[in-house]
Amino acid sequence: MQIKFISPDRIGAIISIILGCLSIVESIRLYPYGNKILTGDHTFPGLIGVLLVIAGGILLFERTSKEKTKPVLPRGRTAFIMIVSIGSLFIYCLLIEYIGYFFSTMITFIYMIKIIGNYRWIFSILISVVLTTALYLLFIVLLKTPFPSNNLPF
Amino acid sequence: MESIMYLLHGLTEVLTPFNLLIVVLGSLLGTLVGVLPGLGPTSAIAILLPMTTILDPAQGIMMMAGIYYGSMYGGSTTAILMNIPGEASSVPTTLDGYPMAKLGRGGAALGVAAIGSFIAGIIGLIGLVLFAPILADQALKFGPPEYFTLMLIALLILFNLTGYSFAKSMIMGLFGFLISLVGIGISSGMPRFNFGVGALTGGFEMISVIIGLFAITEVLKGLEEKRVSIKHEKIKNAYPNKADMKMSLFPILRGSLLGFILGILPGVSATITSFLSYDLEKKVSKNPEKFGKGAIEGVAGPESANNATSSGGFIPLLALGIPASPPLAILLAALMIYGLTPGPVLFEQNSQLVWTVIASMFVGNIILLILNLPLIGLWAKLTEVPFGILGPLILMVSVLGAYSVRNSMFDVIVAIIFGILGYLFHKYQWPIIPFVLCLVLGPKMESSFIQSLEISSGNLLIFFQRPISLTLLLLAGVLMIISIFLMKRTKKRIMQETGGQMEF
Repeated sequence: MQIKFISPDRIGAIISIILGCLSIVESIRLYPYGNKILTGDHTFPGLIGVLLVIAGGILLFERTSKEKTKPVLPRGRTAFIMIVSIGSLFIYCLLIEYIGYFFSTMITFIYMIKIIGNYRWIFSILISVVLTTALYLLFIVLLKTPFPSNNLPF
Repeated sequence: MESIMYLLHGLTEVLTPFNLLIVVLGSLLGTLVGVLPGLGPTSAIAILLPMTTILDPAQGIMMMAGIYYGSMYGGSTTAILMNIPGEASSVPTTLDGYPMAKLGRGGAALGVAAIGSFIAGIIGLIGLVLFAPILADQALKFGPPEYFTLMLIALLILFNLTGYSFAKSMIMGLFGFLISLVGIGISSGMPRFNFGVGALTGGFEMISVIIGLFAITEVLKGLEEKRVSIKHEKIKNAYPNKADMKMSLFPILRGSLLGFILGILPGVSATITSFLSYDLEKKVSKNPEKFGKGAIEGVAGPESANNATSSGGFIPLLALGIPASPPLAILLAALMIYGLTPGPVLFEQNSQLVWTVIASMFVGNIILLILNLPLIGLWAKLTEVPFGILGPLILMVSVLGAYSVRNSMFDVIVAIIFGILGYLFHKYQWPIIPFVLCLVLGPKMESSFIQSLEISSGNLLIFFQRPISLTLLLLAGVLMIISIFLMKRTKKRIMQETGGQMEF
C-alpha cells in the first residue's frame, strides 16, 4: 500500500490557518483594551488572522500541477554538515555567555572551517585565529559592541 | 532649480575627506560582498548594516548607498565570469556575458557593464533629483487614508509579481505583518503576541530577521549546493574597445530609460526591466542570432536597465517611504534605525541630509567607475575565495552583526531561526520578498489604518471617499492589469532561460 504524504504547500496552508487562528485569539484577548471595533491594537491582528485563514484555505484546496518538480531535502553528509553548522551557531550563543568572545568565536570558527572546508587542523586553527582577531577588531574595538566578558582573557 | 542648488550644497558636504572616505569604503565593501558568488545586494546590505551603526545618520546612509551600488556592480562580475547571478535580475547578464567571458572577452563585458551601470545610475539619479522633490511636495497633501491605500496597493501589486502563486505570496506577506505586530501595541501600549515570554515584548528586530533570511540562508544554500571555488574565465583585456563602446551606446541609453521609467511604477522590479531590456535589444538588433553567443548589447542593455530601476526605486523610497524591492526595504529599515522617517516630511525636516545622501550617490557612482575598471582583475580573483572559509565567515559575521544591533542574544537566536526558515522557504518556493516588505511596512500600515479610522469614526468608506485616495485606487486597477501581464511574461522568460522558477 502506498502512503500518501501531504504536499509541502498543504503543510504551509495548514500552518497559515493555525497562525491565523492564533492571531484571531490574540485579537480577542486585546479587544477590551481598544476604543472601537476597528480602532485598537486588536484590529490588525484580527484582520491578519482572518486573511491568513482565508489564504491558507485557498492554498489548501488549490490544485497543484503535477509537472512541478518536487523539492528534495539534502541527505547524508550534506545534511549532516548543514545541521552541524546551524547547531554550532546555537552552541556558540551559549558558549559566548560563559567563556567570552575570543575563545568561543575561535573554537566555533575552527570547528566550522574544519567541517565545512574539510581542511587540515593546523590550517583551520591558523585561519580561525586570523578571522577571530579581525572580527574582534571590527566588532569590539571599532564598533564597541559589549559582548559578554568582552575583554581578552589574557 | 531649487533642487540643483540643494544638490550642489550636498556635493560640498560630500567632498570633505572623511565623507569621501565613507563613500569609497561603502562602495568597496559593497563590491567586495557583491562579487562573492551567490551574494547579491540584499545580502550585502543585511550583512554590512550593523557595521554602519557607529556613524552619524548622514554618513551611515551614505555608506549604505555606497554598499548598495557597489554590491550591484559586484554582482555583475560573478554573472559574467562564472555564470552565477547573485540575484534574479542578473540572469539576463549571464546570457551573453558568460559566453563573452568564454571567448576571452570577459574584460570587455565587465567594462561595458560598469560603464552601462554608471550611465544608468547617473540617469536614474537625475530623475531622482528632478522628480522626488515634486512627488514629496504632492505627498504632503496625503493623509493617513492615502498612505494606507498607497502601501496596500504597492503590496498587492508586489504579491502578484513574485513569480510564485498569489496565495503563497499573500500568506508570506501576512506572515511578515504578523511578525511586525509582535511587541508593544501602538494604541494601548499592551504587549502583543508575547505569550508570557519577556524577550518577545520588545518585538523582533527587523535587521536580525533580514540577516537570517538573506545571509544565513545563503550559506545553507551554498552548503547544499556543495559550493566550491569555481575557476572563472580568464580576463585578457580589461577595457572595452571603441567598437564595443559604439555597439553598446544605444543599448545602454535604451536600457537606462526603460529601466528608469518602468522602475518608478510600484512592483516593477529590476528583474522585469532587465529581461525586457534584453528582449528589446534582441528585437532591434540587426543580428539577433548573435544573442546568447556573446553579443555585447545583451550585456549593456540589461545591466543598464537593472541599475536604472534600482536608482528609480529611490524616488518612492525617499519621497513616500515605500520601498520597491528587498534591498530598498532594508535601507528603509536602516533609515528608521537612524531615527529618520522616509517620506515627504524627510525632505522638509532633513533636507540637508537627504541632499547630501543624493549627492553621495553621484560621487559613489563615479568612484565605482574609477575603481572598478582597473580593479576588475582583483574582484575576479576574489570570486575564488573557497566556500570552506567564506561560509563560516558569513555565519559568524551574521551572528555578531545580529547581536550588535540591540546587544541582545535573543536577536541572534531569531536570526538563526529565520536562517533555517529562509532555507525552507527557498526550498519549497515560498517567496521572501512579500514577507520582508510587509515586515518593514507593517507598523507604518497599522498606524495609518488606525488613524484613518479614527478620523472617520470607524467608517471604512473613508478610503473611497477622499479624492486622492480614490484616484490612487483607480490607478492601482490599471497598474494591477499591467503587472499581471509583466509577471506572466517574466515568469515565462525565467523558465526559458533557467529551466526553473525563481523569485523576482
